[in-house]
Amino acid sequence: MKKIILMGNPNVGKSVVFSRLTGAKVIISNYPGTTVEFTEGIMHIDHENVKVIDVPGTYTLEATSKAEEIAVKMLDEAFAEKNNDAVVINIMDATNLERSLNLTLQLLKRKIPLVLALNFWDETKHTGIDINVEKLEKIIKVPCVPTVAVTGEGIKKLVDETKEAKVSDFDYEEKEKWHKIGDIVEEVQKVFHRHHTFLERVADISISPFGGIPIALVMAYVAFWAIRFIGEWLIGNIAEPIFKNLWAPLMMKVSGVLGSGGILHDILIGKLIEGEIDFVESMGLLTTGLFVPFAMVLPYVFSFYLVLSFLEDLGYLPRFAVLVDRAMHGIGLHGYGIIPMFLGIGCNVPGVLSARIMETKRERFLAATIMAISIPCMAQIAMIAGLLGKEGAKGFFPVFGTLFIVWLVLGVFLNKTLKGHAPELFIDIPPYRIPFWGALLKKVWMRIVWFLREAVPWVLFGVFLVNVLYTLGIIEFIGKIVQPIVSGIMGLPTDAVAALVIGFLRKDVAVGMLSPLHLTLKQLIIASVALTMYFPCAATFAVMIKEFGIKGMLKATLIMICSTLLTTGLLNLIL
Amino acid sequence: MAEVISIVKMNTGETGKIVGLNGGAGMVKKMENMGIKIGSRIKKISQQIMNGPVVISQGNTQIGIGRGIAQKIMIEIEP
Repeated sequence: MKKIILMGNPNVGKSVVFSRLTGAKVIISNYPGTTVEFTEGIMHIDHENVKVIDVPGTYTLEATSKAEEIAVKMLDEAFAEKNNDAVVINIMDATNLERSLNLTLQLLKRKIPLVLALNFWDETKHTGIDINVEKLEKIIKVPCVPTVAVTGEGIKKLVDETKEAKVSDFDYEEKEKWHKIGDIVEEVQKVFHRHHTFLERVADISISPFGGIPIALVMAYVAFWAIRFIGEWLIGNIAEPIFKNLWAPLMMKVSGVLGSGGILHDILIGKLIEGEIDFVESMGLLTTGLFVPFAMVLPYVFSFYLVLSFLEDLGYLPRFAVLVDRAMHGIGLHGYGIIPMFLGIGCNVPGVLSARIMETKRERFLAATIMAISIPCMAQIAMIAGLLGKEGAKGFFPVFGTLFIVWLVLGVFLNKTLKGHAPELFIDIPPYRIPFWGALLKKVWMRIVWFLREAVPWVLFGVFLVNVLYTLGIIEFIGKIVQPIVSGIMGLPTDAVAALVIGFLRKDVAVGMLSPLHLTLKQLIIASVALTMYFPCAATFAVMIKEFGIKGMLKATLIMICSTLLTTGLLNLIL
Repeated sequence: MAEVISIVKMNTGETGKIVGLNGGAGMVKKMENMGIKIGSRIKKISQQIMNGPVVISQGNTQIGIGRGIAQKIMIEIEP
């Protein structure tokens, strides 16, 4: 099959082009390193299937980091077989011609069929850059197409040109490379003087220490407020009315048909509480099993991803990384380590995967481990909010405050015990870009669909398992065994054991199971902290094995269990 | 001849021309690939407090650089 390989510097819009070409849904953001896995898709050109490969961004073919190694390896593999019929689309940042040409020249040297896409063409206008495309084509002798990938401008022409892609006979001496690049830039590009745009002024202020820190605090406050406001509004005005007014009467009818009791009734509807369905406590597949993911968790997942996606597309995250770099070194990571933490708040699984943007294995392990232990995912936060909401700050503060301290202490501890030290920050900071709403909503939608596909089956299975384990008396049995730990160290009733067991499947269901136990505030706090820390959910567990192997996972698990016991034991003594 | 200093010592808002990269071959390559090479004109955008990273602009990009690396980038101030 014919192949198209997309290559370019980080954050030049390769994934946007990829999604334009294949129609595939991929996550796109405005920071370097969004694509950590390579993606393949199929597109049709003249009734022919063509494989399109999206390669992680690289500045060079002389790899200096893991991500760059992967990129080079993928290029090598595509051209390894004879008659491979492969074409490279080199996506360039038109506003950064010099740096983009460095990769282009290295690709030219490989004597492979090449087409250039000059992306961000729209931005050249307000940055005062004028590129003579014809001259550029004449010099390097491959087709060059100006593109604006987010709007689709130039993509059709780009596809047409891949059919004409040829090997260029352009050549240069290796040690003359930068000189040659300088000559080309001189030849084809004119730069006009222009005034700073509003966004550039904001950009400069938001990265200066005296403007940046207040802006970061305001951003964090607004983000938190927006997530809460949107989430609560959706629950109060849409989700709960639908369940209470439409679904509950229907379920009561089903309950009547099933005879208000019996095994099937308990599994589907659950236990009636004072003759009514209680969506949190009934524990039936059609009641709690649907109410938890759709009415309690989904609204917050939606509002969180809306806010996160906005900040990603705006280009704020790399700036935040610069601001917190110094502090992050204290826990053994440089500033970019904040990105797995942010993504982990949405769901720990993409959080673990995004640790790949860290340069060394030590940083990846450290970031993923402290994230999996001390960052509750949005599903869990939503449930903790539901559980402790009536207590207000008295309930929230100890839970999230404790988790933050755990995050800090664990980071410092691992930084001291793991060999090596964090590399220095060295990152490209993209310009602010006004998010393109169509693309942003599409990304939120993809993340929601992904969440539902991952979460709903596990929630249903979790609810089902609760019923089975109770019926078979297994919960009681485990309860007796771990009673010294749960009651002795954590100060929780043995009934809470069931929640801890289910917590391995889904943390949100587990938090919901605490509700009927009528725990004291102190016990609720300890149970919420324990459930966040003690073990990752099944999905995170699986992805950690994939990333760090069984040995790495066991190491992380040991750290998790020790720190959970220590933290909950301390809380039990202090509170 | 102008004084040669590292970008850490530059004041925010000053521009300079890079005259030396004091790193190993690998580090120099990495810098060059990001557009930081001898002869490039750069402007210092900011310096974070407590020995935090330096932000410079080169052409149309901005780059955040940890202090350890920043100390290796030597420039001559240009008026």
